[in-house]
Amino acid sequence: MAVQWTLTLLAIAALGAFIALPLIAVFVQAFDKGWAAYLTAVSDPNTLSAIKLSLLAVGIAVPLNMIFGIAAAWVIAKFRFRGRDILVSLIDIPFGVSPVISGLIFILLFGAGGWFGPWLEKYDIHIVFAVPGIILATIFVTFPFVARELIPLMESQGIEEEEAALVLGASGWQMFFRVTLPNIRWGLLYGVVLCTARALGEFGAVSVVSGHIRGETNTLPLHVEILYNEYNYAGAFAVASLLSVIAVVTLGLKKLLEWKTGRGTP
Amino acid sequence: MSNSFLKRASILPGFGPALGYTVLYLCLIVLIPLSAVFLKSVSSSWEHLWRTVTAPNVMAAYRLSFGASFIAGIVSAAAGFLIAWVLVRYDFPGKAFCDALVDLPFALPTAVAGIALTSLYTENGWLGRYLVPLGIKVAFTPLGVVVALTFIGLPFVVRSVQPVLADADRELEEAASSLGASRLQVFTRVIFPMVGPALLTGFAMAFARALGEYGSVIFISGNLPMKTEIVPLLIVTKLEQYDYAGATAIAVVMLLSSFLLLLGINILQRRTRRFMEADQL
Amino acid sequence: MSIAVEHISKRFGTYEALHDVSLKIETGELVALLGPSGSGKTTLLRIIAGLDLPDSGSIRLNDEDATAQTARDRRVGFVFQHYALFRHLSVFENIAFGLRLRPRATRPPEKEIRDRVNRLLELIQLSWLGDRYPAQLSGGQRQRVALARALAVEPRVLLLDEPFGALDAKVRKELRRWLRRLHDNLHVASVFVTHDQEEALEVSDRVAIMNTGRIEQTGTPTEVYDHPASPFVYQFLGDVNLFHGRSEAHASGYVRPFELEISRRGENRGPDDGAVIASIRFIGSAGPVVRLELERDDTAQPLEAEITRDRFRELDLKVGEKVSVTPRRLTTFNVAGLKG
Repeated sequence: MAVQWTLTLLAIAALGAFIALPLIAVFVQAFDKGWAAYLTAVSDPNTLSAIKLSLLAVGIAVPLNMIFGIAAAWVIAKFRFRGRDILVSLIDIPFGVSPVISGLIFILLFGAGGWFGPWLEKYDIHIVFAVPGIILATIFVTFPFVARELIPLMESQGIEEEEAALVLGASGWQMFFRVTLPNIRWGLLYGVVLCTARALGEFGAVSVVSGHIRGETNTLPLHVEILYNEYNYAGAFAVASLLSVIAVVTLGLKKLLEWKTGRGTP
Repeated sequence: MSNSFLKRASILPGFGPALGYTVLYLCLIVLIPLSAVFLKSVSSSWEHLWRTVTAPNVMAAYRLSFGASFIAGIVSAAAGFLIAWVLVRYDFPGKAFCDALVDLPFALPTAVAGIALTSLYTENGWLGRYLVPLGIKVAFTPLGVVVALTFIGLPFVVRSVQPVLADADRELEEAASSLGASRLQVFTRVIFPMVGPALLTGFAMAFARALGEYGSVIFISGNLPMKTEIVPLLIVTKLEQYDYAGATAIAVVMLLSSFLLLLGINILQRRTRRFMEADQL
Repeated sequence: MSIAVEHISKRFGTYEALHDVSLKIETGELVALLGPSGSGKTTLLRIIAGLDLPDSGSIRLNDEDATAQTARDRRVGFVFQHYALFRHLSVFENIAFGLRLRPRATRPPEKEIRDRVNRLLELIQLSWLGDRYPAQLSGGQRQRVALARALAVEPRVLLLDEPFGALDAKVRKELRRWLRRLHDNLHVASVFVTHDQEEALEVSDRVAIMNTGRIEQTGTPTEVYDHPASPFVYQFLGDVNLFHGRSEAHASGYVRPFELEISRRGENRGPDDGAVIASIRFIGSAGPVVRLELERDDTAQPLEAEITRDRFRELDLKVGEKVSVTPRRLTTFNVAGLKG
């Protein structure tokens, strides 16, 4: 018993010091200067435009990666074909790439000295240091989330229910919308939640391609950085607290979905 | 059967379009952009490349990035194993909450983690005010980098060890102690060999993630040249100086080392899975 | 509605799942595809349903070539081995699934769908379970729901893959008799796959015995049991002893345990009646027949015999005693495996 309690207390202490404390610090610092200062920081026009840009990036990146994830999982989980293992490994690549490099690759493609740079310049199209670059970097960084969640789930469900639907006279889309999609709905939502959280919080990749133009190419995490570097700590933590609330909600949703899909940790 | 060369015949619809879309999207978003890095790096001269990636400040950054990531991986492995053990084996009030908390570093934006950790460890921060008088400086030192990377790495270890521990047969431990093994022997001879591969996987994942980490580190490290500059920061610095070739060269070194790590993790995971399958027989 | 399987072959990579298989099933017939696992019986069933595509050969449904038709267009009822019920739909909606899919022009009105599903629920005696979900049902109940779902679309033929495979012994027996009665009321051609010879012989009108991708024999249960076409069929349909005669003159052959005559050594009817001497190693006397495990004195070969309880009592046998063993009926095959 003594060992058990010592270990439990040690584990709680480790969790507290490494993980809980930073979270608490965010909220305490955010309200350091009182409610009024908090509200001013949060309702600042630059903050609002950062929120808008973050939502825009999420609104484009998440649905695109969701559709990709479903298509990829359908192919990989339900069919056996040559190159299947390679495809699975390739999908995971963005997880192994440093966020900074994820931004760099788009600069090399679309930047002034990049492959498409001269062409883009000719037609006055801005991708890097502009909103499209931020969206592209966000898509890249969150690329594997949905596919990764769905592949094992769909694999475990097998193909019998789909076959049953076809034998009963279903068309391909009827089979998909009436059988496949309802069966993966919680797993899909799980992947989308993780994807959204990462898309909202991505910093390194977006930082590289954004150009830090305040009010134009700043997402929420970039805005936090700018405020912090200007020694506006209360402001930085106020905006950070918004992101932290989203993170906490994400954790709650994640737990709920894990419980829903019956894979809650014991 | 136009696809018969590629796949084993199946009557499920959508293989062609879904595969086509998957490959196209993969190429557009991941493969073509990534290949740009490698093509860009071969376009400049070998010698220039070599000089860039072996410059003193770059070497110092490698030492810091690999060293701090390694230490953070070890700390994560130790603390993560302890946390996983307690979460699997013991019951205590607030356990579900603690379990959920483990994933916070996955969900919390790295920049937020970065400024929060910094504020904790500066001279008048909640932890700094006790540590600094003892001579332990965390903020703006390599130790701070380790702290940030541990924050990032911890969940990887917990989440890879937890399922293996939960699956491990307790009867084995009981059998071992009934054969007269001491507590320590049960741990080193029975539990550790079972969990070992998963722990190593968790360590490797934490290490790989730490190597590329940017947001949570740059605030607490202080970015002092030759002292607390991490490799991703150097890439950003070069980019800000429009030295694309230099940034690319360093990026290629990083990419190659993380791909090697990923390959190792893949092999490890396959071994862990085999162990878990064998366990079910 | 008849099914004709004509010269079907199918490979999976280098593995030959079916080799030139032909079979005809008439309307109203219930045919069992019987064979060990890997014999190709499930593949054949899936090819009839359109769930797998043959490499060569054709499938005719009601004398029309259906080889090129998709599973969707073939209108077959298929009951999957693990039922494949839609886990997110209630029992009622599972059964209604096939009807609700139809385009508005051919879809029955809602009231008719409800009536038809309710009738099917009555038929499978599960009216009270319409609102439950598959996960809340027992194996036998799921099996019946799967069947009702297949019947709801009024299929032309009914195909069942190991329909009783996952059920316990008692439910199996009840359900297979129920299936037989159901089939008799439907007037469709039905095919079911099984590896259980008892099940095949009891339920079906005809049995097709499959081995390594070929049909070894087709016939009524009595035909295949009494006149097996090959050693494989003989062995697969029941317990068997390989029996070598005492002298060279006797060909070696196969004999079933209940076809061995056991007698006391003193009761010998003649010097050369084909009898051999064996020792009793084990007596299993629970159940309607008594099972004896014997060992031949001359070749040390083990034999298994079954005798009635009355005969057992009459002989008053004990373990270790020596008895004389005579085959009443010896089935022999020549080298090619054909019946001698």
